[in-house]
Amino acid sequence: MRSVRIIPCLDVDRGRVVKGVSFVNLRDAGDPVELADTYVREGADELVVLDITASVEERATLTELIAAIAAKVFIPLTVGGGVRRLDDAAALLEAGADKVSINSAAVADLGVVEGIASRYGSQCVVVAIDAARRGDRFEVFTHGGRRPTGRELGTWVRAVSEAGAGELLITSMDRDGTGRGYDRPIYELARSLTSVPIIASGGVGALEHFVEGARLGVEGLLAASVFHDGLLRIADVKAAMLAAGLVTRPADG
Amino acid sequence: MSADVVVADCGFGNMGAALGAWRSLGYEVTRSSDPATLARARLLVVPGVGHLGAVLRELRQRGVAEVIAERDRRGQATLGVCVGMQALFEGGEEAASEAGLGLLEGWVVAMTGAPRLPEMQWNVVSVVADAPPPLRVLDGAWVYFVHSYAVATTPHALATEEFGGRWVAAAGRDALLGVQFHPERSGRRGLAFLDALFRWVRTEA
Repeated sequence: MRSVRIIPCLDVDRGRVVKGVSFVNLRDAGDPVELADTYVREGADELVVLDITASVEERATLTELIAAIAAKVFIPLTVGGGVRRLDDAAALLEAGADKVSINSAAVADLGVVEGIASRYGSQCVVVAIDAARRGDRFEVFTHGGRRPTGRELGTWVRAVSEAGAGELLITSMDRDGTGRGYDRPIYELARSLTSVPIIASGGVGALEHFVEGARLGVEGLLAASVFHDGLLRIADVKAAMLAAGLVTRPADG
Repeated sequence: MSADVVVADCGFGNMGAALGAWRSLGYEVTRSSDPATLARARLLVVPGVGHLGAVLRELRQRGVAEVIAERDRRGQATLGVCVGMQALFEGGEEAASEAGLGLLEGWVVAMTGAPRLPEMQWNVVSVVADAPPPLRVLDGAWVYFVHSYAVATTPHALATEEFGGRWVAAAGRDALLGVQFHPERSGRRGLAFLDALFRWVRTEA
């Protein structure tokens, strides 16, 4: 049967989990290995780790961090941030990641998506898309939401799906950090244009947002701050979804 | 000297995950592409991600296909995971020109009728009553799947999942076992299966 995954996201800067509103004003939120372990115990279905470290040199520690998480956590692990080449993906998969997430590098060269998909299979390639409203359309942004690309979301969703993306992680920049719930129109648009699984991201502030999100027909629901702040616990999210008649792995499953 | 568990290293994907799960259970696990080392393992694990045709070609080129067949003849335990399981069958729609290893009867087909592909999610498995004990611990459990192709029917089916149809989640006979899901990514239930599997192998062998 079809089930919905609950996915805590760890944004990591220089080895620490950070959180911010609309991609700015970052604050420390803890140790990534400890947080990962806690979330898995509470029933997380998958973890996403995104390295937002600015400098390339400091990024070398990412593979060590992934190895430390992977040694402790035995659920699917998606890692992104600075994946530019096949070699970057290879190092992360070797360290224990199951999937790599690509954002800016895919916009710069879609061949990176094709290359990783043909070497390791589509199921290893998540294309992360940050999008924001521009009039009645959604525009794709890169570089942590700082750089507009001029690309329209729908066109981009089709292009990356054809290039071999196995999953799309779509963040609404308008909703991110607002606590107002997932951005319904973005996911309705994306679902109508691709057949690959979609993870919705940005905007969760209450339990019912997960229930509403699951009803959008997406495969995964990602959240960060509500979990880091202790506002919501994953077990409670699962219980609320099950009570609403939705299919998801129980927290103690 | 031979390790408890040897993971066949054929250059596919997430070796880190496959090794880490066994290590966390306290078993001595190594990776190897050397056919002699693979032949000696108490339990050989054949992972596999990506394209069935590519996996079959790698298994043949590296001499691993012959090791799996020989282990099967000798009754030594082998676990195929995901595409590593699919490779054990007669062949598949994804790679029509490349013969499967033919150790299990059945064909790997596209998951027609699935709500969305790949199936990349947790799902419940139903385990048949006379399945080996390590699989029985998973009856009704949620495990993690990532696949677009699956076996629909085989006389060797030991467990099934429902995803727009009924698909084989585990199959095997004697000491040969294949699982379509990823036990190394299925949380504590997945680890419990791996632990039970090795204990079973040690008792039976």
